Amino acid sequence: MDADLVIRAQQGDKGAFALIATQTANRFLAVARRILRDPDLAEDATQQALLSIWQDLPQVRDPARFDAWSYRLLVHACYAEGRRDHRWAPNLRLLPVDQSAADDDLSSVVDRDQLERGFDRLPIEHRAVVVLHHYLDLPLDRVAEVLGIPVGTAHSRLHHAMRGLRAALDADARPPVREVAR
Amino acid sequence: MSAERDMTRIVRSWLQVDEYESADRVLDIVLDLLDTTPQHRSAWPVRRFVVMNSYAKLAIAAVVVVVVAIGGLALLRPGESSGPGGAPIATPSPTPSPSAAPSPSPAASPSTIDTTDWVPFTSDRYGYTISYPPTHSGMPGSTKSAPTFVAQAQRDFAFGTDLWERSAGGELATTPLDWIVLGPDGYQIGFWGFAATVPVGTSVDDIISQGVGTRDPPGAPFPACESEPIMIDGQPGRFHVCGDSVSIAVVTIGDRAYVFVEGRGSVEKDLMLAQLSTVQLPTP
Repeated sequence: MDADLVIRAQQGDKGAFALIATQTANRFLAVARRILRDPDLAEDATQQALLSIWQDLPQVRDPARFDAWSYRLLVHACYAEGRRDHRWAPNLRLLPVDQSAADDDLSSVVDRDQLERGFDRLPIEHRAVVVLHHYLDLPLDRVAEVLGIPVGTAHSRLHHAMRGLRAALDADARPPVREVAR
Repeated sequence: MSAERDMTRIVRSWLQVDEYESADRVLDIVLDLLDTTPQHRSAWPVRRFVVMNSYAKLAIAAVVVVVVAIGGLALLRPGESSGPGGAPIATPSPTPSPSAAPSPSPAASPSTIDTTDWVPFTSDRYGYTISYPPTHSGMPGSTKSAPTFVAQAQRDFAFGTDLWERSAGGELATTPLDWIVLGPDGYQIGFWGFAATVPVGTSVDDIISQGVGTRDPPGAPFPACESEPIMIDGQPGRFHVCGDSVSIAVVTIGDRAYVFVEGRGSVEKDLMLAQLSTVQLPTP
């Protein structure tokens, strides 16, 4: 993020913050959706994170560390959303209409379903590591910085998460049953 | 090691699957809120903008349905409405239906909360005045308000995409809501209100029956709603509380329906009643 924008936003420049938010929001939403696996909660978390950035920005001492700091706020917002009591939730998965299984590296749709189920079973802290590392391409030392955890803990969480996902793929050898989004 | 690399490739590929992920709605809300979201407030804990459970969101969707229903009623009686959002063109009925108003008694118990230092909010759009605690703040209506808080999945789940999209697409314009926001106890959307033109003689029960309380989403444990008469600025209305999710008060004057909604139901019932006790409705 442009340090000048960050400094201006720190000083209360709403226009500067608007530019930051515009550059950030889509990526935040994408990350939140992957951590939370729920579009509604992801929007809430993104909104919370952006407002938190605006509110707490004056307390950031090093604008160069804005990206890591802002992702930390987002992940914490995801944690908060993920821990809310959800007494009902529609079991709805939106699959791209025109996407066939051959479009990606997955061998079949059932792999995706199994991955989703396996991912849903992971602790949200592990999901965050997976998303930051494998979706945002952050090296694990940066992941640790974002999350405020030791690098070893980041490694451990990633290891356990990947093992859980592997188990999810290995455990279910049933024929593919595609759940069509409404 | 090869299996590990394969797993990494699979997970990365899965995470990269494109979905429609525009954050425009969120961005609009956040930017709208900057003026009322201060920086440098050490005594102001970082809070999320909307802390509502799913019931409340459903209830908001239900309120939107009320709006749509009101619009539908108005469209069915085109000679009696002026269209959404604008000042109503009242068409007095020479013989208003005697069933238009609910029984005025027994009314909801009056609030014991002292409202003397509360801040009045007058809706530029709808003309009513309502007071709120000084710990809250008022925001004028925004066309962004209603669609913002109802996620696509919930719209589909509860009410059907078709109904919503007809509403959002302008065929039946969504009625903007006034907001009372920045509540003191961890939630920030506390209250919203609006008015809409309805055919003269439409009762508050008719309005409520179009939405809140009778549209339990299939498969969702929407809380049971309790309804009681209430007097709002001397006018008989209906006060509807659905568990800890939402409360809604409706009052009609002539061809105008005023709807006030609070997002925590029984939890904030006393506060809601206190707010309703301060309402001043515009003269028809």
